[in-house]
This record gives sequence, structure tokens and C-alpha cells, in this order.
Amino acid sequence: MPEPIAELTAVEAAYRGRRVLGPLTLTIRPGDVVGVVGPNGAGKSTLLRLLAGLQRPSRGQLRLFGQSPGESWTMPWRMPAWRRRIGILLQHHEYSTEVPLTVRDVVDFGTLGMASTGHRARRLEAAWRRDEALRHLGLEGLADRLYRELSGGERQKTQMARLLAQGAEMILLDEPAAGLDVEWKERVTRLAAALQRDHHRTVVMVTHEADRLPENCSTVVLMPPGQAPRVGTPEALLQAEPLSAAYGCRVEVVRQGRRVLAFAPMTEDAP
Amino acid sequence: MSLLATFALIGTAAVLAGWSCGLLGCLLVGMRLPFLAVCTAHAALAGAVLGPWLGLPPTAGALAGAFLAALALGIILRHRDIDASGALGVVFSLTMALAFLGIGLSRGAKADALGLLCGSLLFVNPRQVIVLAAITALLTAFVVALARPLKLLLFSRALAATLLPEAVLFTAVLVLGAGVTAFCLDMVGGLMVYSLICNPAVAAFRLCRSFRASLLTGALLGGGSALGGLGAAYAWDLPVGAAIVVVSSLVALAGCLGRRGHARLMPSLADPHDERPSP
Repeated sequence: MPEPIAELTAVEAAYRGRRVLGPLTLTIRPGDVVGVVGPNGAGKSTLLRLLAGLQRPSRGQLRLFGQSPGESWTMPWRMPAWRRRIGILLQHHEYSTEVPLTVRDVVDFGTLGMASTGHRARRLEAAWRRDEALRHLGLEGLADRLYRELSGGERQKTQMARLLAQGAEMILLDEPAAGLDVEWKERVTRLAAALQRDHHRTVVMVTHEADRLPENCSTVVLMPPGQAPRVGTPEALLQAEPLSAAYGCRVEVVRQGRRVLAFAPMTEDAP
Repeated sequence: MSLLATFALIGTAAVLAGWSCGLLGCLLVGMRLPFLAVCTAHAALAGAVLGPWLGLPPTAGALAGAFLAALALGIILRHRDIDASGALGVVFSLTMALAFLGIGLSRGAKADALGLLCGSLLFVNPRQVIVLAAITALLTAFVVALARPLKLLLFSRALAATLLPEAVLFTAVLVLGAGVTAFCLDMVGGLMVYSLICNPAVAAFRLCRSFRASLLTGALLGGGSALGGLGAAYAWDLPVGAAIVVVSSLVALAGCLGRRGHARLMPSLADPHDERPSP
């Protein structure tokens, strides 16, 4: 069995003395697609920050690529090697549109640290990886467009190209479909599925919409607010009963195979 | 010193102050923290006024005040759950109060202290210009050497934290910014340094389509605004600081209008979403 990428053992996270996550025990192995589902305020983004090594757990043990990320919290001037093996797609409001940056610039961020060594061969490799990532996602035509001129969906596609250029082994997606129209929501979901299927990356996707989880999702972390998360298979957890308990209202689920096609709250007068 | 040499010295000081403020402005406006410059400027002012009470010369006091404010803001702004504009507002009001408290408590003529508010570009001396040239060179070298990491920092501090030592880079920007504002305080004044930091950067980001071009444009517009303001003050017998602010504001306005005109001429390049997180 391959070595785990991330191991969380009874991990808890607290904010101003109040527990916002956990206790959670979870093992993520290469090739896994983990869906983190729950309502707003359940601690989903906190879990993502823990997995990115950006936040220290208040209790429990966290290991990323077999190492404790403790050094990066105590010595912020050092960049541990495992950091580059983790790629993160943040929510859209975390990116500035003030600075004029092209799509190529944004994808190029993935090779940062690689191309700055000064070696020509490394610079060429970085440029090749950037161009390959643009090509894989069909962004060559947009490479010179400004990021701020793109639609929301195109921006997410650009961010995914950045993750490919980075060569990240574990990709963390924070609400990648939020704020997009129906067509782009579906396209982004398929792109997330393709990151594992075609590019062999490990994917962790956070969403409050269970119908946004890709069809190749292998593990679900269901996060009810204020309670311990539940870890299981999509077949077990993406059902009306556990989702209703997590969201605090009765929900109806429409499934097709492993994928949830739609889920919606049931009202009293619903047929 | 001959009249020509005096004018050359004043012009050099204006260009250096404008260049360094314009370049610094690109970093601060890019991070959506332009108000940070006002905070450090007023902390420098407070330091300059209160420094003599602690036995420090005004320039050393200004530097100490600006660096302390930059470090304090660096620590405060590291917390993601603290609203940056609120925190800056609190620090700004405190530093401004300390500056006016110092002015009120100072014995004798208050002209020197009040002069720091409005600046005294016309009374600049060669030593000040040399120090300003050194800090301008340091800032320019910093921006050129770390262009790519800075580009990422400006794009997203949260993303930068996953790919580079963001806290160190952010603190370095704040400390350099504090140095620039403290040294420009004497010449441009605590109240007006903000315009030289904010306005050229806003125009540059509006006009340019690449990061490097916007940095160069910001620096050039800063230097040009300072020199233009100085020329306008000389031509029409106006207060220098106020003339520089008016010219830099006109530059920002021209930048915004220029981009609109550019977008009208080239509709394919127009921003269809214009700063909105688009669907």
C-alpha cells in the first residue's frame, strides 16, 4: 500500500478557545479523491488549511508526506520541501484583480521556486511545464489575456493550470465551483475529476454543495457544524439521512451511480 | 551654492521621492493596503516630533516611529481574521494623535514640527538627497531582484503563503515602505506623501498590461508628478506640497480616463467584469 500523503490522528482545530473542527482521523493516500462536504461554518476551510500545513492543530497529530509540519509554524522564513508538493486553489475573493497579470503569469506562479535558481535548464523546464499546463487545459489562446478580463470559470481553469504547472501531488480545492453558472459548475467538477483520472493527482475538494463532488470521489468527510466529522464512502454518506443531519434540515438526494446529481431541502408542502 | 545647483538639488530630491513613492505605491496598492502608507507616514511624524523628548534627532525619531508602526502592522495584518482597513484606521488615529500631542507639548516655535506635516522640499540639503538616493536604490534593487515573488504576494497573500516565506517578504515590504515614507517626510510632508504613493500606482495599474510595465510606469509617474508639481509651484507661485498632490491626482485621473478610452478604442480588451468576481 502506498505511503499516506496526509495522516490526521484525532486532530482538532480551535479558534479563540472554541473548537471549530474535529476530532478527525483521516488518512489520504496517493490517488484518493476526498470530498469535504458540510454547511457554511462547519470548519471545511479550516481542514483545508490544516492539510496545506498553514494552520497548527490545537490537538492531535498531523503528518504531511510523512513529516510533521511543525517547523514551518515555528520558523516561517523556511520553506519546507513538502510545501511545493501541495497545491491549493483558494476561493475567488482571495485573488487580487488590481494588478495587471496575464494568464501566463498566473500559471507561472506554479513554477516559482523552481525557475528562480538561475540555472538555465531549470528555467527551461519551468517554462515547459507552464506551457504544457496551458496546453492541457486549452488555455493557449488566453495566455496573454489579463486574468481580470476572464470570466469566473476561466479564472478557475487558469488556477487549475497553475496547480498542474506546480506539479503538486496533493491538490486542495476550496469551493472551486462557487459563484459560477450551472454550465461552468459542471465543467469545473469535471476538471477536478480529470486532475485525478488523467493527471494522477490526489484531490481534496471542499464544497457545501454535495452535487459538486466528482464522480471518482473515493472518500467523503461529512462535517456537521459543532460535531465530529464523519468519514466514509460516498455511497454511505451522500444519502438523505446523513446529509439531513449535517445540514440541519431534511434534504432530498437525486443520485446517478456514485454521483449526487442534485440535493435540495424538502419543504412541508413538497410532493 | 548657485541658484542652478539649488534647483538641480531640489529637482533631484523631487524625482527621487516621486520614484520611490511611486514604486512603493505599486506594492501597497497591489496588496490593497494603500492606507498603510498614511499610517507609517504619521508614525514617522509622531516619531520625529516625540524623538527629541527621548534625546533622538528628529530623523532618527521618524525612522524609529515608522519602523515600529510597520512592524506592529505586520504583526496585526498577519491575522487573517482581522479586518485590514479597521486595523489601519486604529493605528492611523493613534499615530496622528501622538503626532499632534507631540506638537502641542513641544516648547518654543512649532514651525519645525508643523513643517513636517506639509514638507519643505525647497529647503532640502545634499545629505538628505544622498540618503534618499540610497533608499531609492535599495527599494529599486529589492523590487527588481524579487519581482516574481512580489508579483505573487500582490496577487494573493494567502496563495503566496503556500509557495514562499510570505511573512518575511511582507514584513520586508513594510519595513522598506517605512524607510521610504520616513525619508520623504521632510520633503513631501506627512500629509502629502500618501498622494505620491497612491495616485501614480492607481494610474499605472489602470494603464499597463504587464506587472513589470506597471512598476516602471508607477515609478516614472511618481517622479514626473513630483517634478511637475514642483514646476507648477514655481510657475504659479503655489505651495509645493499641494501642487504635487494636485498633479499626482490629475495623473491618476488621466490614468483612469486613459484606460476607458483605450477600452473604447479596443473593445476586445475591455474588462467585461471590471473588478467584480464574475459568474
